Amino acid sequence: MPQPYAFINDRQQTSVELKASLRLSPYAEAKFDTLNTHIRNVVVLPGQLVIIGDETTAICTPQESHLMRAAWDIRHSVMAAGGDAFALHNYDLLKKLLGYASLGIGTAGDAWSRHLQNIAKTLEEIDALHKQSLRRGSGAARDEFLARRQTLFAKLDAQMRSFARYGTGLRNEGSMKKMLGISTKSYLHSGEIKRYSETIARVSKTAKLLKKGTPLGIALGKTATALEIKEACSTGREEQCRKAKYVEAGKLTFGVAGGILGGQIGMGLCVAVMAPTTGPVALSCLLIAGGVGGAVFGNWGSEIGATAGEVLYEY
Amino acid sequence: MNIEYFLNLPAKDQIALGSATAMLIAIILDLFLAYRKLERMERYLDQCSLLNTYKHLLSNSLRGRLGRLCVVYVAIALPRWNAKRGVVNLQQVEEFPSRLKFALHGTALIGLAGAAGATIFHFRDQFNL
Repeated sequence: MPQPYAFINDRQQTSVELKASLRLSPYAEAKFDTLNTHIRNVVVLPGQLVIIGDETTAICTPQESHLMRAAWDIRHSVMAAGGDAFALHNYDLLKKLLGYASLGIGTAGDAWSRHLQNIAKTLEEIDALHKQSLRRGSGAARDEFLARRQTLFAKLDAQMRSFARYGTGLRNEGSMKKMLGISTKSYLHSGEIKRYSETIARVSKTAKLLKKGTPLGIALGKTATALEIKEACSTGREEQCRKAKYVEAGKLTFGVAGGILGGQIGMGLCVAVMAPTTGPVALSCLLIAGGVGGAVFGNWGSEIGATAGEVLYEY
Repeated sequence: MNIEYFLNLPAKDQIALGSATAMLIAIILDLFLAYRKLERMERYLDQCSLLNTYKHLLSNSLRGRLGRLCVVYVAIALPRWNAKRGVVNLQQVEEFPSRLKFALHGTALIGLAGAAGATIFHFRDQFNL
């Protein structure tokens, strides 16, 4: 029996391009527009859900309605976290934060978001310094300005060493001035550091998003579980439906439990080994070990959850 | 509940059930300690730089609390190693109430048992289970 299905769009493209690449039959194409109102006549961003309907019927099936709701939810979640451009530029980061890894990263992500807030604070200090120096003029004030800016640059450099710059959107372009897009000429011309407000906004948004990573990961897991159960209940017999409830609920529950425990194990190892270093290296360790631990034990937890669910169902 | 039914299950199912139960208990204990006892534990170790640094870094959210609990456990579980690095006050760790120590060790052991069970279950083919 044909079933509707959905997939995640992996690159930026227009809805027309997307539709053409799917090579749908004329009948399915008409239904495609009805089901995908969330991406109609817009640029489809990576991460958005695309629904391919059941072409044997013209009416919208309950499963399709469910997928449509999920597609809108995902769109809202991503948009609420920071808008189109943000979702696009940070898609890699978003993708890594979802799933069980998000549970492990969750704790470390909390620390990471604070780290990013500190970076944003340093950037604001640099901006304030530039504005202040512009008012005070030249001479001795300029030497003081250069010395203070050097200190702030050193602070920012330490905050963003290697992996620690991840999430800021700032790329290593040689000097700190170049990276921030600072030049005295451009500053005098526009009165503010080029790309500056966008940088701060981006850093703050990433920090906020990191906090939302775990709930979003769990919400997606929950949606997948609900869809699996719904599919089994709509296509199979009552027995299969009941079994799916046990198995899928087990997978989700123990996937989440495993993800949390794995994240804690990873974090504990990092704290035990790198306690005296609380800088970017320790944070990177927390993020990587927490994420890996969460992903590994989340998946393994999901496996035992499925088996445990099956055993309980048979009992 | 028929206990014989569970005892007669194949080894892989027993491991899955045991591991799942251990994980569930560990998570419940984890949450209890993180929300009911964390502040008390941190007060007992207020002169440990390890805790103070991470307390400043991790917030008061669920994730932050679980992280802070993890840090408290590292301080308790490895007192000499941490004292050697100068990040804990050994006297404070030794005076830490034994009931709380027991609760922390118990939670960690149950959680690790669950994790070990999940690992064995995943590699069950290599273990011929």
